[in-house]
Parts: sequence; C-alpha cells; structure tokens
Amino acid sequence: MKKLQCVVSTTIAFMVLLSSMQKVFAHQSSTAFIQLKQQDSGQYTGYWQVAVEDLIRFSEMKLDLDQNGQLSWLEIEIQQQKIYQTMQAYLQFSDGQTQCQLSMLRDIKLAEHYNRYYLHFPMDLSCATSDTIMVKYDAVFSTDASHKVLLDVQTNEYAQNYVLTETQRSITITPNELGHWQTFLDYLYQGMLHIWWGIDHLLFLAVLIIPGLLIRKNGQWSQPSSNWVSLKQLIWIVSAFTLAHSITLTLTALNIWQVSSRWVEVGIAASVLFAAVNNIWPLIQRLALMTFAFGLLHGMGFAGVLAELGLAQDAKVLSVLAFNLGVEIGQLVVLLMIVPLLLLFSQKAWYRQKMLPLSSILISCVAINWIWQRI
Amino acid sequence: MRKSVMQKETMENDAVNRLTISHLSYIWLLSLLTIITLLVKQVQAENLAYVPQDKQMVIFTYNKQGETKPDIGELQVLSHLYQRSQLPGQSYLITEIQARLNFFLSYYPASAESEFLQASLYQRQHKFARAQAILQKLVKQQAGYANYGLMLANVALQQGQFKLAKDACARLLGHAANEITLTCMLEVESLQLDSWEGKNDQKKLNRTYQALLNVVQPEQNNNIWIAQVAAEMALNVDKLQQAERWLSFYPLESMPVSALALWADIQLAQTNYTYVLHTLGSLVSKTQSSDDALILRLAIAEKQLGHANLWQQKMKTLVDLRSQRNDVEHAAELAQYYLQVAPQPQLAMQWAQKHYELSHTAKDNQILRAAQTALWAE
Repeated sequence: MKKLQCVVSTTIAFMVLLSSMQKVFAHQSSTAFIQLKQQDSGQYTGYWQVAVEDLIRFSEMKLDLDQNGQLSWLEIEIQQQKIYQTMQAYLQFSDGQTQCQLSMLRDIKLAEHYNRYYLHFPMDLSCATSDTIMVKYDAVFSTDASHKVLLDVQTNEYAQNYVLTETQRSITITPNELGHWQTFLDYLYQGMLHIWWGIDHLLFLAVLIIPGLLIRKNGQWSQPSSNWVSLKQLIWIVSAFTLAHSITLTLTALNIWQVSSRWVEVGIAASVLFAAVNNIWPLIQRLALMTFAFGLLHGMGFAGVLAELGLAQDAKVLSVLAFNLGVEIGQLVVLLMIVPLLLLFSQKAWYRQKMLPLSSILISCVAINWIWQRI
Repeated sequence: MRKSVMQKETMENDAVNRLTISHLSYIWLLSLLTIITLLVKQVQAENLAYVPQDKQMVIFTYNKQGETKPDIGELQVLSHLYQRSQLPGQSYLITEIQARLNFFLSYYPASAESEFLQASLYQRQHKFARAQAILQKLVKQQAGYANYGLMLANVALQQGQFKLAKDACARLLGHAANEITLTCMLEVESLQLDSWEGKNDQKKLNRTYQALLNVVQPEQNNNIWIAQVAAEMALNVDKLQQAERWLSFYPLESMPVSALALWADIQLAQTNYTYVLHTLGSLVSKTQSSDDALILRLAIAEKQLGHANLWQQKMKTLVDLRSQRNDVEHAAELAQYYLQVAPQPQLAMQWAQKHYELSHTAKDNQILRAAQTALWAE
C-alpha cells in the first residue's frame, strides 16, 4: 500500500511539475460586482453579481438537482431561497456600530460579463445611520485567492469605486471622504489645466481670434465699424468651437465613438496649419463653420487626455461634463486676457498688415513641425 | 452720415449672421443626437441583468464532483486537470481544482502531494510567496524529491530571487536528469544576465545559450519545458530561427498558453503578423475563455496589419477590467497594450513603472524605456 502511494505521489508530482514549470500566465480573473445606491438616509438599493462557477465552487452548494453536470436556470429559480440564505453569510454591511439589514428578496436575475454567466442578486440595505458603511465580504476567496470584488458605492454626496481582495476583505466608507463635488472639482481643474498646457488647442484658438476681430473686405482684413460687431463674430466662433469639441469629447470619452488618437493628433496639428494659412489666403470665409468642423477634432484630442486620466466610475458623465466645463473656463480665461489687447491692436494698421500675417506664418511653421512629428 | 454707419453695421451683422445661422440647424441636430445616444446607453446599462425566458437554459457546465468522500486517486485526477488548465481557454479549471482540493482535504490530511498541488495553484493565482513557503518546507522535508526543488527554482525566478533559484537548481544534482538540472541552472543564469543586475550582457547571454546547446539539441529534446527555456534564451539573443525551431516539434494545438505566447513573440519579432493572426486567431477563437497573453499578441498583430479591430476590442475589454481590478501582476501586458495597441503614453508609463517595481528583466526595462520615449515624444 505504501509503495503504491509512493508511485502515485511520484507520478502526481511529476505531472504537476511539468505544467508548473511553465512561465506563469494568469488564469481568467474571477471578479464579482457589488453596487450600492443611496435612496434615503441609511437606505440603499443595489445588487451583487457573482459568476455562476465561482458561486458553485466556493459555497459547495449542490444546485445541480438532477446531477447531470449542467446547471439550468430552472434549478436556480427553484432554489432561490436556499441560494439567498447561503449568500447572506458572505456579505455583511454595518454602519460602524450596528449591523445593517440586508434583504435579498427580489428575484434573482442573470447577467453576462466577459463570456461568463453571473447571478445577479438585487439587494435592499437598511442601516440605522448613514455616516459610515462598512462592507465585509468573504465569498470565493477560499477557491480563488486572486478573486476581487469591484464595489461601487453611490450616495447623495459621492460616487466611488473600491476593490476588495483576499487580503482586504472589508472596507469602511465614510461619506464626504470623496464626493461628487470633489470629483467634479478634480475634473474641472484637469480640464482647465489641459487647455492651458495644451499648446496646440491654444494656438488654434489664437489663430482663430487673431482675425476674428476683423472683417475680410476687398481681399484685405479691415476693422469693423464697431467693437460690438467684432465681439459678435468672436462669440460665434468661440461658441462653434465649444459646441463642436463638447460633442466629440462626450462621444469619445464615453466610448460611444472610437478614433485613432494618433490621427486625431495629426488632424489637430493640421487644423492649426489650415486655420493659420486661411488667415493669409482665406479659402473659407465662414469661420464659424470651419471652427465647428475642426472643433470636432479637438474634442477627440481632449477625450484622449481624459482617457489617460481615467473617468470616475459611475460618475462618468459628471467627469466628462466637469472636464469639458474646465476646458471652457480655461478657454474663457485665455480669451479674457487676450481679447482686450486684440480689440486695441486691431484698430492699428500695422496689426492688420504685418502682425496678422507674420503671426499666422509663425504658427503655420509650428503646425508643420507638429504634423511632421506626429505622422 | 449716421445712417450710413448704421447701414454699414447692419450689412456687416448680416454677413456674420449668414456665416453661422444657416448651419445652426445642423449643429442643434447633432447635439440632439448626442443627447439621445447618451440616454439610450444609460437605459441599456441598467437593463443588463435579465430573467431568461427559457427555463431550461444551461448556465453552467462542470465536471461532476461527488458528494461523498473522494477517492484517494482524486489527487491524480486533479493533477490531470491542472495540466489541462494550462491550455488556451482552460484556465477556468483552476477554481474547480482548488475547490476539489479543499473538498479532498476535508476528508484526508494534507500530504506532500496535496501541498505540492496547492503550491502550484498558488503560483497560478500569483500568490508566489505562499507557493514558495510551501515548497521550501517540502524541499526541507524531502530533499531527495527533485520536483520540489525544480518548482521552487521556478517560483523564486518569478520573484527575481536569483540566489534562491540557483541554490534550488544546485540541489537537483544527483536527483534529476542532467539536462533538467543544467537547463535549470542555465535558465537562472540567463535571466540574471538579462536582468538589470546582469546589465543585459549580450555576449554572456550568447555564451549561456551556447552552453545549453551543448547540453541538449532541439532534435533530441522531448521535454516542452526545456524547449521553452531554450526558445526564450534564443529569442533573447536574437536567434529567431533557432527559437522557432525549439518549439517546432510540438503541435500548437497542445501547447500551454505560455509556450503559445512565446511562439507568438517569436513570430511577431519576425514580423509574421498575418501568420500569428491566422494561426493563433483560429486556436483562440475555438475557446470561450480569454487568455490576456494570447489576445494581446493577436491585438498587436492586428494593429500592425491595420485590420478590423476584433482582437483589439477584446483586449480593450480585458484591459479595462484589469485596470479596475488594479491587477499589477499584469502591468507589463497593460503597458504593452498602451504602447503597441492603443497608444496612450501616460498610461503606458504608469503601468510600466508598476511592473518595473515587481520585475527587472531587460524586457521590463525595454518596456519602461519605450514608455518614457513615447511620453517624451508626446
């Protein structure tokens, strides 16, 4: 018997060894999802989604009633109460002092993520206070040490994501720690920073407003009869730019529309070149229309930066809006600094005859250099 | 005079208005479409979970596990499953093996074999320290077992602990076949030379590879682990044809994911993008699962060929999940994705730095430098 055991052991060890000596590549990541949305003070609704195979493995529940190696949806529905009772032991919430009442009474649903079926457990949570939520999670780790939970908590004040792991099975979330307001401010600031640091967007704006205060007449730039006309034209141009880049920034940042960042960057440089050349030899006189078209490209560029920052999960729309608003504020600050000077200078003949073409040529050179670098 | 100025102003106003008003309708239409799209997306997101209409719908198929006390031979069955779990699309078996091992251990006391299997599972779950602790204990208890020492060397290498790996290989002398012991030692030496510590000394790396060729030749070898070590060493010294030859004796269909990824690296280094896309693509398509390492290579090939972005989209989904999970163990793959598939220098840099904190091979250094260069170019 001992000899047999020894032979078995050696065989097992060798077989496992050969496969274990392979360089390690991950097995499919096991991930569960929990979402909590605050409805009222201390009251939340949400869900818990666990992969079916994870649930079966860790809980050792015998859900396959006919023992045919296939779990059907009917077998889940029949044993819904048993599943809920088992699951509740693995997920607990408290408000720091007392246990919250977790109710999982609504019908289980099915969800799909990454080619796997998930059981979707709707939850209602009732806590005595809303100061703190403490989440304690203990499922799946016994069968998969790399299991993680993506926890998404949305209260009236904030929305934030957390990750629970085998080594960090509980987490205490304190409202006001990071709120919607803070998320909004962060993205607003980043949007402003980007327009100030994004020299290509600034140059595009500059190249548009340099002649934006003038009117093309008889093949020459001339001063309009009043500052109001100049300002009106400027407002149209800036509005077209704002509207256009807002559209593409939103579409791209929310993954509704995907574009190659490389060609967007080339396109942005080309837009600066085109607008600068257009100042010298105007091909397009409908500046607002041209601005709108190129503004679409710049919006995609802004989205690229936003993608690098990453969107606040489940505050995605807010992040995009705040970033966009930041871009607009940044743009407005630049305009407020430049426009008074331009209004002053545009009355001078040297500005129209020398400064405008010279600055446009300089900007064209910079834009050509960018195109060369970015292709 | 006053009238003339007013007329002029009116004309100019009209000119400005003409430039813009006729296009306002298009602009508003576009804005409206954007809002509608956003709303539709929001509604879709909330309806992700559903109640299947077909009650008989099968939502999970599995290897039946007995409810009664498992047989003593269960460990052997599990080791077979473990081997299978290395194949593309089979990694989901890891959870099953762990569950069945737990069940087995609820009836039988832990033995060296079950602990060895547990160490292997920990290794797959990236819990290297835990795997190492078990293996060190096993090596101490049963020094004569070459397998424990060999795997300990492997786990130590994955953590960049070259000295421990070297010691574990040295302990194999007299307990394992010569080519296994020597391959183990030469692999450690090669990885150490390839590391920041060894300064990626190409001359020495070449010498180490030659030493391996003196021990074993591709034609005589019938051990896929040796073939993989040798192919990787050949790839590191840019001997691409030889690297390919080492793996050519094994059918791709039965290769573990790690060997397939290496095969793809060798093909990509030879710019055989279409070959990778076609061969590896058809293999991976047959499986339901998503092996990041293979999908990344397919996405790179697809990107290079400028084809429709089937694999790039799949990889993006995996990358999004890895990012949300903050899976630093996959930082190198994420950095490569942001360098070669969807260039975003800042993210590439962020993940390359995270990876470099864990691993310092020449390749890791290359990724870091590529990310730095991309960032500066931006």
